[in-house]
Amino acid sequence: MRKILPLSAALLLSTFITFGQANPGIADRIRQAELSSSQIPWIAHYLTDVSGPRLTGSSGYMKAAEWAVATLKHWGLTRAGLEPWGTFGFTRA
Amino acid sequence: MNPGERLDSLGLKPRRTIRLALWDGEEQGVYGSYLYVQNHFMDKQFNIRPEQKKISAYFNLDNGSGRIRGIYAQSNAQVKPIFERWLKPFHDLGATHVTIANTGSTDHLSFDWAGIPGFQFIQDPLDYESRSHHSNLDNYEHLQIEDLKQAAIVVASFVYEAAMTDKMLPRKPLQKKNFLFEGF
Repeated sequence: MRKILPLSAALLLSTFITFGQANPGIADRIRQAELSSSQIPWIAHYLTDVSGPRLTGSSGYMKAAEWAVATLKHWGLTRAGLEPWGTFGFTRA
Repeated sequence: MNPGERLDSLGLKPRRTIRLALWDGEEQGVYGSYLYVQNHFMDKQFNIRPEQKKISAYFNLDNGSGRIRGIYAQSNAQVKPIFERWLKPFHDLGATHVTIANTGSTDHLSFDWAGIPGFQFIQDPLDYESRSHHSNLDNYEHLQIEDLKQAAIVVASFVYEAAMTDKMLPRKPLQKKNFLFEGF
């Protein structure tokens, strides 16, 4: 038993290091950044009010999707793009 | 709302690649995520593509603009204590709970089907069964911006933590069952 105890403690410790918090200060930095300079209001404004109704595959949906791709590219995510989702979707005439 | 952009603005250098996905066709049968998973990770005959082995985790936020209260561990017992540690900094924001329970009916199921750890956050169900949600009355004015900020903080932090681990998150055994929404 005396040998097993330190071993299990070491295993626990290694699990903690592997999946612990990478850097405890990061959570606070993320929080402060979001609370002080959130981008959510204007992103939501473009996705909803500017794009209009967005049923699956409709023209309003495509407008929102293309805006998202262009915006992500503008942020430097150069590989942003649309992927297929099948044939479902239409705009009612 | 955008975890990728938020992390980049802080000058963080995640060790793993972070992908941001915005799905379409969820209500019709998780079309967007299911086809993405088939195209990248596993086909309907359960042939695994190389990319499948390189994805550590998928995090899903679907249920409107209510704040995050925790996360479903999706029957993955090994992941539960990890998520409990990752959630600790956000207890004061009301995100406290990690449940071992499954939840269904949204896009993390496509990943779970393909053997990739996929998780959905627990959210306040604001107006979820009322006439606004899932209808053309669900407009900008129904968004709870403060709740969305809280959700962005929690999601960004989970994504960052997952991108920094030495090992990928523990996986459940692949079930090789037909997808729940196949044929929808």
